[in-house]
Amino acid sequence: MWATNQGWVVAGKPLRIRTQDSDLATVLDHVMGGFEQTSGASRGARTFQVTKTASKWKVYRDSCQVSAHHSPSQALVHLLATLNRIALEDVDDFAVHSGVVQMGSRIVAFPAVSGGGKTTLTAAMILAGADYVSDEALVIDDSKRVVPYPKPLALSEWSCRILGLDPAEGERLLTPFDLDAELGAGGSLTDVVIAEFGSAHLELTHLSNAEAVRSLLAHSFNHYKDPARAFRIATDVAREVQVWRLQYDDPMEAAKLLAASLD
Amino acid sequence: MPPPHDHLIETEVDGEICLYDPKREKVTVLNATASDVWRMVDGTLTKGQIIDALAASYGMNPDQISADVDSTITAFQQDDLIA
Repeated sequence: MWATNQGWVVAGKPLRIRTQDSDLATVLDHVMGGFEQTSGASRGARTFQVTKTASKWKVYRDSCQVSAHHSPSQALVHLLATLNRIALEDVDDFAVHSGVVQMGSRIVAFPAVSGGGKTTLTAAMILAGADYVSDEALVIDDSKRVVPYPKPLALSEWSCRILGLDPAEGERLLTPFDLDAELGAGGSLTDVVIAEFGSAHLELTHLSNAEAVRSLLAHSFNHYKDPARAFRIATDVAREVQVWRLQYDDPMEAAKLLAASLD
Repeated sequence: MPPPHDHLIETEVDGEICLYDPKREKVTVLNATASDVWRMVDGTLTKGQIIDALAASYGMNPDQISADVDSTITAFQQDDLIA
């Protein structure tokens, strides 16, 4: 008997997650809350399962075991990382490694590498009043519309402290609802922010639109699948956005400056 | 001056030329000055003619820009953007 056996649509693809553990089921339903739920069977949906054995918590993907962990929290983190990787490998739209927030009609992206501070900056923007689109991926479809990818934010202990949130050992998973925020509805990208953490002073300056081309392609997950299409989308999008360089040391102060400048 | 490779995909974003090389899957974004030089590199003009034409458009003496144009064209060759 499954405590949860729920279908979701993640980056446009259907999947199903199930577990017999009721506590884990509650956490799963919460952290996946940003994604659209589906009811009934979805054709072609991948199925993920988290099962407790005598000594381990095992994660299965389509009935094949992919990992084993000592605790349900470790299993959950691995499950979410696996979902994230699969979602972004499979996505058909142009996808860029980026945090994304929405402020009214403005959609702002922060392309960056892993560890570059985009999740912390995204969370800081949410705390400054922005709606959440993603802390991981800017997904742009062929009509140049931003498709939300609202995975739970994974904040380190350091990030939690600097944001004024209660830290957890390891990573803390938060949904935008945990931060009293709304989900962004998506729309056209209006701003690309090239964020440089570690600067001694706080500064926001304009850059040329062509810098957005460089940034979007440099941080793309899947440009290699159709490079000419990725180039076309990146250049089309770059013509329509404002491009900024944000130099900062304190994500909260950076978020306040950016929010005020975009208002 | 040799012309640009004909397999390059070229587009302009806010006055700056963006080039995509599908063979190497490489993107090159030219700043405003390099974009001006690129627009003159069509395989019919010599380096001297390019320098003279750009100098005239900038209202400058060719000697003032020849070193920069020369280094820009060298960079095009090193980046395999021109034949």
